[in-house]
Amino acid sequence: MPLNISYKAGMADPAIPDDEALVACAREGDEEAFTELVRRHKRRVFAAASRFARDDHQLDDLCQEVFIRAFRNLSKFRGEAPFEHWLARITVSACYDFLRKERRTREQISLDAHPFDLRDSRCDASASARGASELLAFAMRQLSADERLIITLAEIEERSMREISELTGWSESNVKVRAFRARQNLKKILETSHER
Amino acid sequence: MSDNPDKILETLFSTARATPPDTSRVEFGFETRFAARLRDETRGSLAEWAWRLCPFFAALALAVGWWNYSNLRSDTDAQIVVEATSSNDDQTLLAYMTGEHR
Repeated sequence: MPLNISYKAGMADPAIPDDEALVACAREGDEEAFTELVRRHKRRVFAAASRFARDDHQLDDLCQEVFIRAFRNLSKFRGEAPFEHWLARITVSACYDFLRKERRTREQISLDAHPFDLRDSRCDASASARGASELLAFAMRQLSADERLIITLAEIEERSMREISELTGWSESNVKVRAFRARQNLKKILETSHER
Repeated sequence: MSDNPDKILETLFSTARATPPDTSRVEFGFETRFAARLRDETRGSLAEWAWRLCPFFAALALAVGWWNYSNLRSDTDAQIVVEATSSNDDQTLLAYMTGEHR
């Protein structure tokens, strides 16, 4: 049964349904209710996914995949945790799958083929934000999917080990080990590029 | 700039944190695109189920056809016998009485 409430996100109106009410309506097939959930939470999903996608097209696809997964699994949402936490786990899972898939399909980019000089970019890192972002993106692409995911969550989004453990489903000690290894690998990549 | 890789990493991370990617362009109209995809997916899954059930319905149609044909055939035979018998009632009775028919 469609929800007969006008959806106006951001308004502090008690008539505006909360996420749980919208989820209940969406479960009964109300697509408008789910669209409202998308409208409410898309910014967080985009912010997280944009760390992994290389262009706008990939980002759009990845975010759509996140919400499609959420829609398909609505029956599994028990409401024990807020909807946004549940959605964050789906986002991380979709991003991880995306990274694994991308790593399998993409060709290895050689250092020589890179459009800018790594050494110069590294020297300018503090001055040029763009150069630093490009250098980090380049170095991150050399990492495995799990390393890239963990570096993004731990170092860029500054999440705690416990949070990462909850989001990924890996144990806390496993997360710590992976984070340490990922950081070591990233350092090695930067050192190697510097030696060249 | 320092050659200490830890410091370089920290610089890169802090720069990345300070400059989150601008996603506003992709966010624009996202709900509309998503709703369209959701409709396609739903329609797609219905079509998929229809294809999956195709062999079942084909088998059902064959079974109903065969059952109908066999029923029709036995009904026709019985009707012919009845007609043949009813038109020759007298002759059959006479044949029984005279012992020609056993």
